[in-house]
Amino acid sequence: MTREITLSQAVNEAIAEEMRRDETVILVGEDVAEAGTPFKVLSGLVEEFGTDRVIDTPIAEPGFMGIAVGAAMTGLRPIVDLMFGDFLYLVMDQLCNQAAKTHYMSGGKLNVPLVLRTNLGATRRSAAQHSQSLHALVAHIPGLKVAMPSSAYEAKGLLKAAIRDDNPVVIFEDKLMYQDKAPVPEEEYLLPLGEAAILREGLEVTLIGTSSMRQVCEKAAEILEADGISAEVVDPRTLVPLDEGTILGSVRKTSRAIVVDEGHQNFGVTAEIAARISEKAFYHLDAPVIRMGAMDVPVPFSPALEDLTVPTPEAVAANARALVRGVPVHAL
Amino acid sequence: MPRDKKANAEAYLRMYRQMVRIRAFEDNANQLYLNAKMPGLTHMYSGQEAVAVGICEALTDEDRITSTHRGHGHCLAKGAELKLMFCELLGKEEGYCRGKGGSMHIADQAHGNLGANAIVGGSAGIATGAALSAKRLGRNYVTVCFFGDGATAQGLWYEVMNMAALWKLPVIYACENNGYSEYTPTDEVVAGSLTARAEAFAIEAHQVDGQDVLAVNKCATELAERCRRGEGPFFIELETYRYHGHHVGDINRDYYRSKEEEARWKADRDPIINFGRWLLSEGVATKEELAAIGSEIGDEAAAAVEYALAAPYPDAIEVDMHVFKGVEHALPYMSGARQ
Amino acid sequence: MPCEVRMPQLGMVQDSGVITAWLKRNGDPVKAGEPIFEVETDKATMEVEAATDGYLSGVKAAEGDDVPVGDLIAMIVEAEGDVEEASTGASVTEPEDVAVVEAALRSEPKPEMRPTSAPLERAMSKSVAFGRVLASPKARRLATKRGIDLHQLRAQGVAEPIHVADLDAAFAVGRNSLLSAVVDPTAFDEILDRSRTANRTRLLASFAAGAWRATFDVSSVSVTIEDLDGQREVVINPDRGGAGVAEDPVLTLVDLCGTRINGYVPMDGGVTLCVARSAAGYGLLLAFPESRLALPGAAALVEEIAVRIENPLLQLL
Repeated sequence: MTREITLSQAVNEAIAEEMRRDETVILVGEDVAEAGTPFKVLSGLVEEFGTDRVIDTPIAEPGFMGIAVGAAMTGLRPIVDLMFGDFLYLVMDQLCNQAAKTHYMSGGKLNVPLVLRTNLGATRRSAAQHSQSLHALVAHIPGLKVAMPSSAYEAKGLLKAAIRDDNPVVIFEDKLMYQDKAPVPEEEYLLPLGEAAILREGLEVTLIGTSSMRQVCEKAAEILEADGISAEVVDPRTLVPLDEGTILGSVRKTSRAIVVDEGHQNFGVTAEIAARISEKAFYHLDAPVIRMGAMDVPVPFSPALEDLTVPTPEAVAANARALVRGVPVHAL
Repeated sequence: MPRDKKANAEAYLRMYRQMVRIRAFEDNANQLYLNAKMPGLTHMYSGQEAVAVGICEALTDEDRITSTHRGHGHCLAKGAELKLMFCELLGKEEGYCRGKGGSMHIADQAHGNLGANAIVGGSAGIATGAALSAKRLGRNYVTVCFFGDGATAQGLWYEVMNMAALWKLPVIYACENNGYSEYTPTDEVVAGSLTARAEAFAIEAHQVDGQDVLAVNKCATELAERCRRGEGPFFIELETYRYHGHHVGDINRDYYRSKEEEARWKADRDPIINFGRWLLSEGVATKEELAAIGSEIGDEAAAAVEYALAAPYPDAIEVDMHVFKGVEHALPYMSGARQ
Repeated sequence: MPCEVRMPQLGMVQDSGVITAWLKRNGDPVKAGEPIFEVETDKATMEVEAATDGYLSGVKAAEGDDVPVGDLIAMIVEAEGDVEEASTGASVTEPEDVAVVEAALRSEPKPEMRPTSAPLERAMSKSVAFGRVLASPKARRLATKRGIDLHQLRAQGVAEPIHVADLDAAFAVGRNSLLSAVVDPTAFDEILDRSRTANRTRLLASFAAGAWRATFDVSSVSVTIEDLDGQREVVINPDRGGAGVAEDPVLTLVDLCGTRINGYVPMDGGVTLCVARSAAGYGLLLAFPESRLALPGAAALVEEIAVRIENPLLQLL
C-alpha cells in the first residue's frame, strides 16, 4: 500500500522507525527535541524517545559533531542534525579529518557509523549563508558516503539505509522540498546507496539531475516532448558511491548528456559526472556533455537576482534542444 | 612484606617498568628517525612518562583514552606492544593500523586507545563522545582525553567541555603542560590560568606535578572512581617537560629554550630517575633489580626494532582497503560496482 | 655493538645536508651526547651528537660534502683497535653512489639527447594541410565502421561539426550503387565437398567479416545473415570464432547458392552482399549507398572477399 506524504514526514518516519528498531540510534543537534528543528521535520520524536535519545545541544556545531564521532566509535549510531548545509564549514575538521579517516587510519579497526543530515538549495530568499549547496565539498573526501534524495520516497529509503550503514554518511535534503508530497509505501523499504534510478525513458538526450534538479530535469523533459524530442531522466540518488553503470548505459543509448546539480558549477558535481561520461563513454557521444550548476556567485538575497543563479527547466530544455539539433556547443 | 605493601610494590614496579619501556621506545624511535630508517615525522614523549603511566595505571582495558601527535607514551602505557608499535612506525603490515596510520595515528582498540590524533586538540570531541556512549549505554568506563597546553587554544575543547559539564559525562580532560606550544613558550600563548578555564564551566580542576608518577596516579585513581560514580567531568593540569624538540629534527632550539633549562629538568626532575631513587629508599627494589629491568627492556626494545625492520610492508592491494567498513576495495565501489 | 652515524633527517623539507665542520677526527674517542660534526641546514648550523660511547671510525665524508639524508657517514666502534681508516673524498664519487651519478647526469644532458622540435613541426603542418574534419566522437567512430570518408562529406557541403544525423542524412540522398564479380569456385567447392560439417553460409559470413576487417582496419565486425524466407540472424566476428560484443552489423549477407536467383537488393539503404553460384563460378553482388561506403572502399572490399573465396585457406589461417 502506498500513500502520499511530504518529504518532511518521510524523514520523520525513517528516523522513528530506525530508533524503534535499534536502541543505539540517537539524534543530536540544535533544537532537535521540543522545537523539532526550524523546518519542524523532527516534531514528535522527543515525545516518543525522550531527551536521552533526542539530544538538544548548544549552538556548537564542531563540538556536537566531534561528540557524535566519538559516540559512533564507541557503540552508538548518532544521527547528527546540521540545521543548514552552510554550517558544514564549521564541522569540516571533525567530519573530514576525523570521521572520514578513522576507519582507514586505524587499518580497519575502528569505524564511525554516523549520519549527518543537512540540507541544500537556494531560492528561499535566505541569502548567501543559508542557501548554499555544498555536497561537492564532502563528496570529494574519501571515506564519506553522500546521498541526495529527490523525493519523499527516496528521502525515507536512503535515510534508513544510511542509518544502518557502518560508515559516515552525509545526506542532503533540499529545504524547498520538505512540503512536497510523493507516494511512499506503508511497508518498510530501504534504497541501497549506490543505485541510480531512471525516472523517465527517452532516446535522444540523457538529463542527469540530483536532488531537486531531478524535478527540473523532469519538467525539461516534458517541454522537450512537446518539441518532439525524447529525453531520458536519470537520478543518481547517491554521489558516493556513484552508479556509473546506469548513467553510462543511458548515455550510450542517447549519445548526449546534460548534468544538472544545484552546487556551484566550477569544480563541482556536474564537472565530475561530465568527466566520467567523457572518459568512459567518449566514443558514444554525439555532442559535448553539458554542465548546469548553480551560477558561480555567492547566492544573492534579492529575488530578482537569486532566481538567475539556479538552473531552470526552460534552460535545460534549451540546451537539450541545441544538442539534439547538432548546434555546436560554442554557440550555446 | 605485608600483603598490601606487596600489592603496592607490584604496582610500583609495574609503573617503573612502563616508564622505562616508554623511554626505551622513544630512544630507539629517535635513532631510527635520525638514521633515516623511519619515514615521516615523529614527536618524542621522553620526559613526560610519569603522566601517561600514572594515569593509565589508574585505568582498565575497558576505559578509553584519546591521544595526541605526541602519543607513543599513552599508547604504551595503555598496554600496547613494542613490536607492533615499531611495525606501525615503520609502515609495516603487522603494525597496529597495518601501516596506514603511522606515528601520529596509532590506535589500539583492544586496550581502549581510540587513537592518536594529528590535529592539535582534534580528539576533544571524540573523547567526550566516548563518554556520552558510556552514559547512554550504561557502561561503567571512564574516558581520558590527553592533550597538550597548545591544544587549549583550540575552540573545540570549550564547546565539548560545556556539553560534558551540562550532561555530567564521565570524562577526564588531562592537559599535559610541557611548557611549549610547538616552538613557542606556553606563557606567550595562554592568557590567564588553564584551571580557571575548566572551572568556568563548573568543572572541578586539579594541578599535579606531572613528573611524580605516584602523585599523578593518586589523582587519576580518585577522579576515575568519581567519574564512575557519575561525578564527572574533571580537568587535570599536569606540569611536565619534553626532553626533545617539538619533533625529531627540531634540533636548533636555542631561540625558544636554553640548553641549561633542558639540563636542569633532566638532572633534577627526571620521572624515572627520581622514582627509581624512591623505590630504593623505600626498599621496594634493589639497585641490581632496577638495573636488570633496564637491561631487560633495552634488549626487548632492540629485538622489537630488529623485528620491525625486517617485517614486510603491506601489499599494494591494501591501498584502497579499509576506506569503508564492509567494502573490500573502495575504488570500484565508489564507481558503483556492487559489493 | 658498533653504531652507525648517518646524515640525520634535518627537518621536514631538506633531503641532504652539507657537513660544515668535523668536531671529532677519525679514531677520536666520543661520548654519547657529544657533538661529532656540524651540518648546515636551511635555517642554521646544527651539531650532530654521538648516539653511544666509542671511537669514531671509517669516516666517509669530508667537510664541505653534501650528503643525502640517511647516508652512512661513519661508525662508532667500541674498541680503539676496531677503528678503520677514513675514506673521505673518494666515497662521494664511488660508482655505487647512484644518487650522485644520477645527479651528474641530470645536470649535464648529452647534446645528442636534446629533443629537436623539427619532426613535431612537420607533423603539425601536415595535419593542417589535410585539415581535420570536425566530427563528434560517435560520428567519427560510425564513419570508420561504415567506411565513410568524412572529408568526402565535407566536400559534399555537410556542415561541421559532423554528427551521426549528418551521416544518416548524407546517406539518404547519396547514390546507391552495385558492384559485381565472378570468382573461381574450385578451392571453395573442394572444401565444402570434403567437409561434412562446413556451413557454406557461415563460411561466407566469415569471409565477408574478414575482408571488411582487412579493408577498413576495424576491431569488431558483425554481419547480418538473411535468407529469402526473411529469416535474419546477426553473427559477431564470425571470422574470429564469434567472440566479442554485438555492434551494429556492417552488412547483410544473402547466400543465394542453390537457387536460380542471382541477386537480391533490399532498398533499405543498407550494405548488402549477395553470393550466387552459376556455371561460371561464385557471383558476388555488393549493393551499397556511396555515402555510407565510398566506391574505392567498396571495390577493395569486393576484391578482398573474392580473394578469400578463391583461396579459403588464406582466411582459415
